[in-house]
Amino acid sequence: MKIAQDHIQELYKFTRKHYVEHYDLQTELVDHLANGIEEQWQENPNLSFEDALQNEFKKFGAFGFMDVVEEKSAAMRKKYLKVVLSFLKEFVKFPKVLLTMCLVGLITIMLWNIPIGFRHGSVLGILFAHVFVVFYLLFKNRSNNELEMVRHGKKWLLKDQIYSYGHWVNFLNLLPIILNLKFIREQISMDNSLVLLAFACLIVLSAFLTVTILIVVPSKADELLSSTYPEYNFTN
Amino acid sequence: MANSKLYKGSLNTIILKLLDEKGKMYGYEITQKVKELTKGELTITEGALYPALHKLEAEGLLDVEVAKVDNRIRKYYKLTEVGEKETVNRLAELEEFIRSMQNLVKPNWSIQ
Repeated sequence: MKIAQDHIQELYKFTRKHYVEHYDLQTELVDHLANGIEEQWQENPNLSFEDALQNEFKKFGAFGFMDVVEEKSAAMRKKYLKVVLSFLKEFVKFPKVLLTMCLVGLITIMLWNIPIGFRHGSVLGILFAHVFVVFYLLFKNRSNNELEMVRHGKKWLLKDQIYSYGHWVNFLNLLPIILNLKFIREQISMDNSLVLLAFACLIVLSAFLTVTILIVVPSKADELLSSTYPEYNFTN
Repeated sequence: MANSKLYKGSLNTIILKLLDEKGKMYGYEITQKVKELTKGELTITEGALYPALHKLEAEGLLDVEVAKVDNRIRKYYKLTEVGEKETVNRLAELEEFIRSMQNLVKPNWSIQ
């Protein structure tokens, strides 16, 4: 006996009820449960759909789909990070590397020309301004992004990562706060040109990350999603 | 086998080996194949199989393909080029491990 279309919809509902909210994972689990149920029916055709489903679900153990969801989310975070890094690498390749070097040089010279007592404060100022801009863009695009995440009524793990900007703002936020800690501030000597160079690199790197995460990756979202999920195109 | 801890570390290698032999497989097929090959001695639990598959996919060892089968979408896994190379390494590692364990358990053991 084969499973009916209605039952497939039931199975999707069942996975949602058990805290699997993303369509990519739901689909895989639905196929698995359906195969298991069909096999049980081969041995015992009188078994009800519900009983067969419960038997199959028990095989996932006491925590149900939780382990599967956790591991899949971790795998997707890793994948997202790889995508971001691959775009970021462009900035150290020719010709963009020229722009990178110019920016780093310019900021170093700018910091060098600021009186020593104000240098650390200036670095913090730039970083705080950066955090402010990212927060602004995040809030400005928030409702759009939330709509984007559930476009066509389906949630995809990678899409969530892309439109929540990989939680970049949470990390960026910490940078000026850590640099402003008293014992760290006292350790850094702002009259050393290498220190200024390192700060310039940090500022440029964080700016490139922001551009990649907030602009480049979302603009390639559809391309990335269809290469990650072969089913993305024929279900949307 | 009562003690599943004994083969837990080898789960990834078992998956890679199966995919190497069969080309492409879907999750349910893998659990059934393992049961069949080991005559029910080893069973891969669903709660362990999918996390392992997703991890291998994230590491770039597996690639996915989907097809519409009956009235549902099925996701197939297959080895990438990197995955094929890694399978050879991991099988060699596993063999080495089995040999060491054999030496520990039965030091004078030989095929004759």
